[in-house]
Amino acid sequence: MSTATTTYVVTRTHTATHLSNAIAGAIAEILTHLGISARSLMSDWSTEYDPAIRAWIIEGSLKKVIVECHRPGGAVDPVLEFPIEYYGDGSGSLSHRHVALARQWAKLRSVPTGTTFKVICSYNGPHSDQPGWAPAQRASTSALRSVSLGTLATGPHASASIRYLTS
Amino acid sequence: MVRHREIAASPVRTAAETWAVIRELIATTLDRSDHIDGDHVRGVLDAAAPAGVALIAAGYTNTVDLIVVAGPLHLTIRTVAGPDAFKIEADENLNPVPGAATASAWMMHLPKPAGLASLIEEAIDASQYLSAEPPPTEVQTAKNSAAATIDLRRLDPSRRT
Repeated sequence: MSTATTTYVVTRTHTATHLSNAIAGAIAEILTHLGISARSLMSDWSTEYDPAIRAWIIEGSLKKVIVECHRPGGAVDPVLEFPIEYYGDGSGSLSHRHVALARQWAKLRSVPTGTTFKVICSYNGPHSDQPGWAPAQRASTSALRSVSLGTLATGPHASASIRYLTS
Repeated sequence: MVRHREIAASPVRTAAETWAVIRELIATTLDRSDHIDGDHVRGVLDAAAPAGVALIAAGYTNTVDLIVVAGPLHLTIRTVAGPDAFKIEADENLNPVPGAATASAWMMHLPKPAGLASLIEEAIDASQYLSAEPPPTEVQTAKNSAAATIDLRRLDPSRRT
């Protein structure tokens, strides 16, 4: 009887791809739940968002991906945050908890028609320039309460969790 | 004629890269028909990319098939993510799938999870080639009757056609 085995190495690039995919899926589904079309975001994800987010995760500079929902009256509510935690030793494993977390964001209240969204990234320190990204100012979240939804996805070198801030 | 393909997804590919592989597999498969133009198929699937990318990124296509029905061909496509994506990548069969040569029409059936429902509906409303309904009953019967064959092939990748 013969046996065979395969080995694979999960690199920082794989970790970055895994987390970027998970963040894209979560943003698409949460925006859809809120009543905001995710079509434009998904249409542009591979060209405008994914390359930059992966590059920043690979270099370890990405602190958070933030999605602000701007209501027609000017209020920014809710806000999604995807904090990135890095593991120096590459000890994490691959996981994706989208389906488990989806039960929580299925309860989110929809937003008024005309609400738009803005994606902002924050950094741990120096970071590379990425095409299409420019300095931006975050809206205040002082009037919002924050709820942690837990870990969205992990890779050997980093993980992404979700926080939901709303009034 | 039931066929199944598994496509490596995260972390081997981005969601958009995975959708592009699926698009090309479907286009080259249907292009074997005298009645279906592969480039037209590519155009339909490019327009549906936001929905497809979201389904893949969220991980739904890891547990629910994308289904293409074209004449006698009933092609089920599933993505494989996580550690198994590395294993499946080596066994991927991305050659055109046999069975669509006599097809005169085609339809792609997409999953419609509640959380992405409106995004999927947007794609379906824009194309007569996309559906969130289950495939026709007779095709379902064919799928069920051939289920044992599919399982055997999954156990032995070298026997996949």
